Amino acid sequence: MIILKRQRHRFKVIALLLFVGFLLLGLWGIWSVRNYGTRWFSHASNPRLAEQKKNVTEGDIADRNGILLATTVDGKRVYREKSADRAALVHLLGDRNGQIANSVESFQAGYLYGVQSSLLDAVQHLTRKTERRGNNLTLTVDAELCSAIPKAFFSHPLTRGKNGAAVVMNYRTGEVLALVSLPCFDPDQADGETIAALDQPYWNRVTQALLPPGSTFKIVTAAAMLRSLPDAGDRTFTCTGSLQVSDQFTVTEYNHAVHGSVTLRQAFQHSCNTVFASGALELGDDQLRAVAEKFGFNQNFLFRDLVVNNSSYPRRNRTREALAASGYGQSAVTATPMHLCLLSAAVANDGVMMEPRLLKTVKSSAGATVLGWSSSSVCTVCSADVAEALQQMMKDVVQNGGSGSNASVRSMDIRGKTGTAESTSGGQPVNYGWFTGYNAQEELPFALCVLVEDIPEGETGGATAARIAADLFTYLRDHPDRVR
Amino acid sequence: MFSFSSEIYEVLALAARYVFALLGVLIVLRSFAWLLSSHREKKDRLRRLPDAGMIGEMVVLSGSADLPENTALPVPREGVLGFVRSCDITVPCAGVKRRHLDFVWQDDAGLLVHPRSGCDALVDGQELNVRSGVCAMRHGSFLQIGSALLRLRVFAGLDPNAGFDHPAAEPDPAYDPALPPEAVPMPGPGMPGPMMSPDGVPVPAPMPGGMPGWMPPSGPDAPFVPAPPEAEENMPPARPVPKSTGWKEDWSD
Amino acid sequence: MSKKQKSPVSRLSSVVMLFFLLAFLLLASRDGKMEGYILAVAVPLMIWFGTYLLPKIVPADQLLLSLTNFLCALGILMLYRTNTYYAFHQVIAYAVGLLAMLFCIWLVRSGRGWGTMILLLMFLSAGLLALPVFFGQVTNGAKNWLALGPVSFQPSELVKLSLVLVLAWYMSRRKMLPWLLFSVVCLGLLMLQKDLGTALLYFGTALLLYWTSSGNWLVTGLGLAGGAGAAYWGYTLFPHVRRRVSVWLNPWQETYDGGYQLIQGLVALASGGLFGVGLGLGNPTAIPVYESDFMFAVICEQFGLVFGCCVLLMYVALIWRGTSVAMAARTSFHGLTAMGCTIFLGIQTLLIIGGVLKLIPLTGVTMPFVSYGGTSLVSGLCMIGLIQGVASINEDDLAEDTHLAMLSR
Repeated sequence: MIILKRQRHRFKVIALLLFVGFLLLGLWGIWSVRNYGTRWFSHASNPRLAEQKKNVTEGDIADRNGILLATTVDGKRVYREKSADRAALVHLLGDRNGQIANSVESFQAGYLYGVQSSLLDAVQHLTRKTERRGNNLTLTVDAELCSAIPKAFFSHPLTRGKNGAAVVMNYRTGEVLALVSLPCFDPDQADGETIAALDQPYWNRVTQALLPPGSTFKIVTAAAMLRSLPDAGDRTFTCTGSLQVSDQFTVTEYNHAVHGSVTLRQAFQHSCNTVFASGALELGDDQLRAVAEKFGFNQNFLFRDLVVNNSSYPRRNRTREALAASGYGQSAVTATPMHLCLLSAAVANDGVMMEPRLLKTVKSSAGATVLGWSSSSVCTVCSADVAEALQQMMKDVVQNGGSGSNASVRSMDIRGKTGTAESTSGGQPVNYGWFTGYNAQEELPFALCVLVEDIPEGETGGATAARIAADLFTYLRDHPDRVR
Repeated sequence: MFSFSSEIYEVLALAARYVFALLGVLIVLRSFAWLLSSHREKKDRLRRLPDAGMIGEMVVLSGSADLPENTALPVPREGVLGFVRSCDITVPCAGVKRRHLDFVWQDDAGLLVHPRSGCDALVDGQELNVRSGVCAMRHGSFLQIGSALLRLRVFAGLDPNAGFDHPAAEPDPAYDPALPPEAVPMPGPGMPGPMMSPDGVPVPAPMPGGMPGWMPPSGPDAPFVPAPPEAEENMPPARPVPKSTGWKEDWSD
Repeated sequence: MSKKQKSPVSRLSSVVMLFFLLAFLLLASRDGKMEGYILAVAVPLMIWFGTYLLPKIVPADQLLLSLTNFLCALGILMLYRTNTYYAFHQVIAYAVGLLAMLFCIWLVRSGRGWGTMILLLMFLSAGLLALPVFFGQVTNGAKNWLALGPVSFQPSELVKLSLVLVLAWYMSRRKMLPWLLFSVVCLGLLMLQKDLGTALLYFGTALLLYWTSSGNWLVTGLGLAGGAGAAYWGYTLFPHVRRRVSVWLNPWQETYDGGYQLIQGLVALASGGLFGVGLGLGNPTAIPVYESDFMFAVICEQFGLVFGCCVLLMYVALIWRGTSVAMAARTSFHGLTAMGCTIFLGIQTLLIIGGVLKLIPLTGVTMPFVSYGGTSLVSGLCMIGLIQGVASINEDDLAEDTHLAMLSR
C-alpha cells in the first residue's frame, strides 16, 4: 500500500517538523511561566490582584528576627514605627503606590494575598467564617542593619548627603541581609514636594543602577589574567604611571602615582590601572569577555526573589582603547551594586556564586509553611585556585596597606576591592565610589557592596565607600545573633 | 434558576480545577491511545494485504543479476520507476536511471507513463522520451527500459479494455523470445484475458504470490489452460462492484 | 460478569461529554441563568451527535471528529465564560460548520470533474479575495472583512480551502505554473489588504506542500529565501509590522499602547499557574480582543498550564491523524489535499500560540476551532471535512481490498 514512497516519507518529515514546533511551544510556555511568572503576575496592570485584595487581608512581612515590617490592623496597613526605619526600608518593601519596581509588597503579592493557597483559605473561610488572610512572609533582611545604612552614610563627612546604595549578603547561603538605596524617603509622611526634590527617589539603585564598576572590575581582569596568561601570578609588570595605548588615549593612574615594578598581586593591592590595561590588551577582547560572562556579565539574571538589571560587558570592543579601558572597569562596562556584591560573594565562596534570596520562609495565616528556605547556586565564576589567589589579593587591599585600608575592622578578616569610576551624567562628569568586599571568617560569612554617587573630585572609593563598609562590618561583628 | 452563592462557588471552582485538569489529561491519553491502536490496526491490515492499493504487477521478462526473471514487481496507483530503492518500482538494471519515469493509473486510460528528462523507454515498441509525452500502458503491455524488459499485468476489474481493441495487443514476438506461445495467452480480440472466465464473469482478485493464469514456463505448475465450462458452477459468484474503482460491469463485448 | 470491550470512540467521547457537562453546569451555577443549563445539555448532545450520528450519514473518521468536536466545544465553553452573546453565535456557526463539513466530505468522495471545478475555483477565489480591497472594512489594521448585510465574513478564510485544493491538484499533475500564479495573486491581494498573517500562512503552506510533492531542495530553498526577503522588505515598508516586532521584543515599555494586549495575555498566563484560577473566576476579559487571538491565554488562565498543554497535544493528535490520512491516500491529489489541510491548520496554530507565548510576534491569525468567528470556524471544519473525505475514500479502498482478499481465499 505504497503510493509515492518519497512523498509519504516527506509527509512524515513535515509532520515531525510540526511536532517539534509544538514541543518547542510547550517547553517555552512552561519555561517562561516558571521563570517570569511572578514578574508578570505582579505587574501593575494585573486586574486580578485588585479582585483578590477586596476579599483577602494582606499578610504580614517580618524581618529575620521577627520585627514586623508591615502588618494589617483593622483593615489598615501599618509599618515600622520610626520614620527613619520606614525610610530605610522603602525600596525594599515599596512605596504605597507601586512606583518602586518589584518591591516586596508588589512582587510577592501572590503570597501576601494567598493566591496560591486560595482553595484551603476559601474552604476555611466558608466553614469557619474566619477572616481570609494572606500568607506571612519572613524576609532574610535585618531591619536594624538596613536602618544603620543611611546613618552610616550620614556619619562620614565625605558621604553625607550623597546618594548611593548598599547591599549585604551571606555568601554561603545567599541570604540578603540588607538592601538600601539612597535617596530614601518615608512613604507615609513624605509629601510630593519632598519627593520631587530628590534625585530619582523611586529608583532602586541596588538592583537597577547600571554604572561603570571602575577598579572593582579588576577582580574579573585579574581572574582572567590568572586563568589565561601563563605565569601571570609570578610575573613582574612595570608601571610607569602611564601607558600609551594609542595616539588618542593614554592610561593614567589616580593621583599620578607610579608603582614601578609590581607583581599582579601588588598591582591589585594598589589598584594600578596600567597593569590591568596592559593585561586586558594582552588577553584580547574575546578572552576577557569570556571570563566576564562567567562572572555574570551579559547574563540574564533570573533570580526568584529579586529582579536585577543585567550587567553588561560590551559585545565587541572595536578599538584597543576600549579594550584597555575595559580592563579597569571603564569604557562601556556596567554593573549593578547587587552584581558587584555577588562578585565578592563568589570569590569568598571559592568561586561559587549563590543566588541572592529575600524570602526566608512563607507561612500561611494558620502557621503552615507554604515555602521553606532553599539556597541554590547561580554559577561557578572561576576555579577554586583562582578564587584562592583573588582572596589573597583582596586581603592585601584591605589589610596590608592597599587602597581599601579604610574598610578594615578590628578582629575581623575583611577583604575587598575599591573602585573609583568616572562617568558623566547629563553632560557633567560624575565620579562613583565603590567598595566591594567580604569578611573571611566562617562565623560571619558576609559580603557587601557600597556605592557612593558623585564623590568629590579627587576622592576615591577607598575614602568614601570603604568607610561605610567598615561601619557595616562593625555592625555585623557586634550583632552576630541578629544576622546569623 | 439555581445558583450558588459566590463563596461556595469559589470553593467549588477552585476544587474543580483539579478535576478539569485530570479530565483533560485523560482525554489526551485516550486520544493518543486511540491513535496508536488505529495505527497498529491499519498496519496489521496492510500486512495481511500486501497487494492493497496495487493496480497490478510488472513481470520481469529479462532483468539482471539483481532482478531475476519472473519477479513480479507490484505496481501502485501512482509512482516513480527507477534504479534506486526509494522508487515505487525498483528496477536495478543497467541503463535504468535513478528515477527513470513517472506513472499514474487512470481508470479509463490505463497506466500513463511519462519518462523524465534524459530517460528513454520503449512501450510496446514505441519510443518514449520526454518530448514524446505520455503513453498509456494496458494489460499486457511491454516496457523496455535499459536492459530490462517488463510486462504489465493488471489486476482483475481494473482494466476493462484489457485485451480488446488494443492496438499494441499483437506484440512483436521479438519481445517475447523466452515464452512459448501457449504458455502466455495473448490478449486479442475475442479472446478473454487470463483472468476472465469464458462468459465474461470476472474472476476474483489476485492471490498474493502469483496468478493461476500466468505461470512461469519453467515452474512446476502446468501452463494455463482456460477453465473448462463445467467448472463454472464451482466459480464463486461475481463479487459486488464497489463504486470507487470505476469498475465497469459489462465485460463482454 | 463479562467485561465489555469498550470501543475507543466511546472511551474518548464519554470523557469529553462528561467534561463539558461538568464545566457548563459549574458555569451555569455561577449566575443561575437558564442559558447555561441549556448549554450544559446541548453541548454534550451536539458532541454525541457529532461523534456517533454523523458517521452514519456520511462515512467519516471518528477520531478526527472527536478531536474537532472537543476543540469546538472548548471554544464555546470559553466564549460562554466570557460573553454569552458570542457563545450563541459560535454555536450557530458550529452547526453551520458541521453541515459544511458534510458537504466537503461529499465533495471529496464524489470526485468527479475535478479539473474544471478547480479551474473555476481558482478564478472565483481570486475574485473573492479581491473584493475586500475595494469594498472591505478595516479592522485591526487589516482591510480584510466584507459585510453583506447583517453577515460579515473574511474571504481569506474561505479562499484558503480553494488554495489547498488548487495546490494539491496542480502539484499532483506536476504543473507548476497554475498554482504558482494563483499563489502569487493571492499573496499579492492579501498584502494589499494588509492581512500579513494570513499571507504568511498561505506562503508557508504552499512552500511546504511544494517540497513534499517535488522534493526539490533548491527551489524550496529559493522560495524560503524569497519569503525571508519579502518579510524583511515588509518590515521596512510597513510601520505596523515594525510596531508588532518592537512590541514583541519589549512589550513592557509600551504598557498602555501597543503592548497592552500582549502584556495582559502574559499576565493571564502567569495568573493561571499550573491549574488555573478556576472556571468562572479570574478575569479573562481583561485581555483586549480575547475572543479571537488570545483564546489560548484565556484557556490557560481558567484551566491552567497543564490543561493548556493538553490542548496543544490535541492539536498534535489532529496533525498526526491528518498526516496518517494523507499517507494512506491512494492518489497523489488526495494525499496532498489532506496534507495541505493538515499543514495549514498546524502552521496556523503554531503561529497564534507562538504569538501569545511571546515566542514570535503576533501575526493576527486566529486559533482554529477555538477562536470566535463564524467564517474561521466554518472554514476550519471544512478543512477537516476535506481530510475526512480523503480518509473515507481510503477506508473504502481498504475495505474493498480486504473484501477481495477474503474472497480469493
